[in-house]
Amino acid sequence: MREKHIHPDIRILAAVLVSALLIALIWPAKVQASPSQQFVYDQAGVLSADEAEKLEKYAHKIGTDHGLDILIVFFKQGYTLEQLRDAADDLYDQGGYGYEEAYGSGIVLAVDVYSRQYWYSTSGTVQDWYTEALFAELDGKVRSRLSANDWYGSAREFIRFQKNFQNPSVLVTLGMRVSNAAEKLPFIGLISVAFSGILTYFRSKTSRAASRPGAGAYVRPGSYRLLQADDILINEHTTRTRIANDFRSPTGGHTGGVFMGNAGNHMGSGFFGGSHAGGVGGHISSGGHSHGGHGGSF
Amino acid sequence: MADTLIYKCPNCGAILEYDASNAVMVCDHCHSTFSPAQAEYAQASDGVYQQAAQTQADMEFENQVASYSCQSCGAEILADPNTSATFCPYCGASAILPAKLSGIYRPAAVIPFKISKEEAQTAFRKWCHNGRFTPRDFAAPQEMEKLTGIYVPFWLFDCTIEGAIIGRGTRVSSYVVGQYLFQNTKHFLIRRRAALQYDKVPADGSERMDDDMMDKLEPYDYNELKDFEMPYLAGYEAEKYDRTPQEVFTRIRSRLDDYTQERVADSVIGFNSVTNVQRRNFYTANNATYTLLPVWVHRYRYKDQVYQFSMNGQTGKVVGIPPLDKTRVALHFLKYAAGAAALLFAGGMFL
Repeated sequence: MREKHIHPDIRILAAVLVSALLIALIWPAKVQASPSQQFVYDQAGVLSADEAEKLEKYAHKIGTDHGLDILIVFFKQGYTLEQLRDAADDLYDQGGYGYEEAYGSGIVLAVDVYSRQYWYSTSGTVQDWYTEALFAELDGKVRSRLSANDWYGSAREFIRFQKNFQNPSVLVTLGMRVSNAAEKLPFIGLISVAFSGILTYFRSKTSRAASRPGAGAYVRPGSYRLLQADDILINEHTTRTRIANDFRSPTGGHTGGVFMGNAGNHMGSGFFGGSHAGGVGGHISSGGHSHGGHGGSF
Repeated sequence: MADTLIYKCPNCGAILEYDASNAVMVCDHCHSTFSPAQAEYAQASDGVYQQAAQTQADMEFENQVASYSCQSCGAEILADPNTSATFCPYCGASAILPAKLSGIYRPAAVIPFKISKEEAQTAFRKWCHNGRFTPRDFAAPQEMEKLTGIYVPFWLFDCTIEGAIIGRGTRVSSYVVGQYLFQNTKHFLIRRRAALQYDKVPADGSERMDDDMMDKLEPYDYNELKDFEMPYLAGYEAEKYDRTPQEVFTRIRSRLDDYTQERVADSVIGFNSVTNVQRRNFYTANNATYTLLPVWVHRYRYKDQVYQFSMNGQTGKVVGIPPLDKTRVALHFLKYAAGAAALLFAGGMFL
């Protein structure tokens, strides 16, 4: 039986596409898993249903990947800080939260939108992990949004920050890694297309730099002879302009004047457009130096 | 019919071909080597020129196609009327046509091929990126065999030019005396004249060759210029000129006029402005030498357009743009994009 020839390019392309397909097959199963517990409580009614749902999924996903339960709760009770702390702890404990065990690893963001207090309540290994410095860092991301009444934004940042934590008991699965990479898909697509475009352009490009040498390459060395160089004076004129009263001569006993022009330019091949103003309109500063200038009204 | 000339090995009688790498005539049969002069001498003493009768019926046909008799196998070779060296399509022997290389068509000089066919093929593959983006058969072995070494007719001009400039110039100086600013302006009549000597400025004398492409193949190393001898042509194709020095001289002028004027203008210094400039160049001495220069050529027709690869057969300089197959370019784009995406995705799993 005759073996069908497949071009190597097509083989590589097929292999890459199959790999991408396999990865894609793993990924949806992970993302589509729905949370079994509630993680977002909006008792203050500050989130829309859509926002609450998004936060719910996000808290579930990050919590699963990193091994902690992440709770968000908005109150409108006018709690003091102590009361808020107690309410957060109670919610966590009474709800049986904790990663894979009651009272296990987790964190709560409790916010009272009326008294404008907030509290982070940590449990389990998360409690050990959070240092003062980390709380300060978290504050930097969350508090400013709370101040701006950006409830959804503050909650999202709070959840996002928990990605820094990794529970050692969590086995990082391929699905979690894929899910992590999948978040960056638009960025990956953009970079890939740009990279591919540049690579294809440069690999398909043929150097067009070849050019014929200039006529100078064929000049016999030392053959240049200047046969005639005449500069014949045809006429000459001098103009005299009175300098304004506040202008002064540069020095007291000066007799020859101050040379201001510059008639020594080398013209070369580009001399046809060249001209020089000769310092007209300038003035002499108190230091005796010449300056140019221009002014007007508007 | 016209004469053909082949060089036979004085030892075994097989056909000799010119070896560009070693600048000798080589016998593939007994592996003897000879200098071009030795081959010429052996050829002349054998007197193997063959004369064939030309019939009246051939006359009209020969206006467009010239036919020759192969000295090796006797087959009839058809070629372009400007061809002065070619190959027999039946036995592969190189055939030099002395009638196209005599009288006013006898070149004065030649630069022998230095780049071998294998080297030219390697350069060709590199130039077209191994045919990755070209039509599939473009870099195929059978297509590469069509790479042809051609001695292209060139005119090398020696010119002496006097460039002249006449114009008006001004020199301006300013100075302050007391409460007054003085501005002095001097007007001059400027006259300059300078002579320059140019040596061996090339212009191809072949209608078939693209002028721009031939220009870009420069420069050639004239230190390797040799007096013309026919053995150099063995194993290559050659053309005789079909454009006279007068016809190509306008191209030479366009190259030299501006540069000459620039050099003359360099001597105009010390002026604030120069106006009313008149320029002229006088060609006081011109001499054109008919020379054959080595070029590797490959022509390929794709979508009603001819793509040409040209390579300086002495220096290896390459000129030309290969055809692009859009489908293959798109395929490569997708391949690279998919590869990059897969790598980035894999990296993204750990970041």
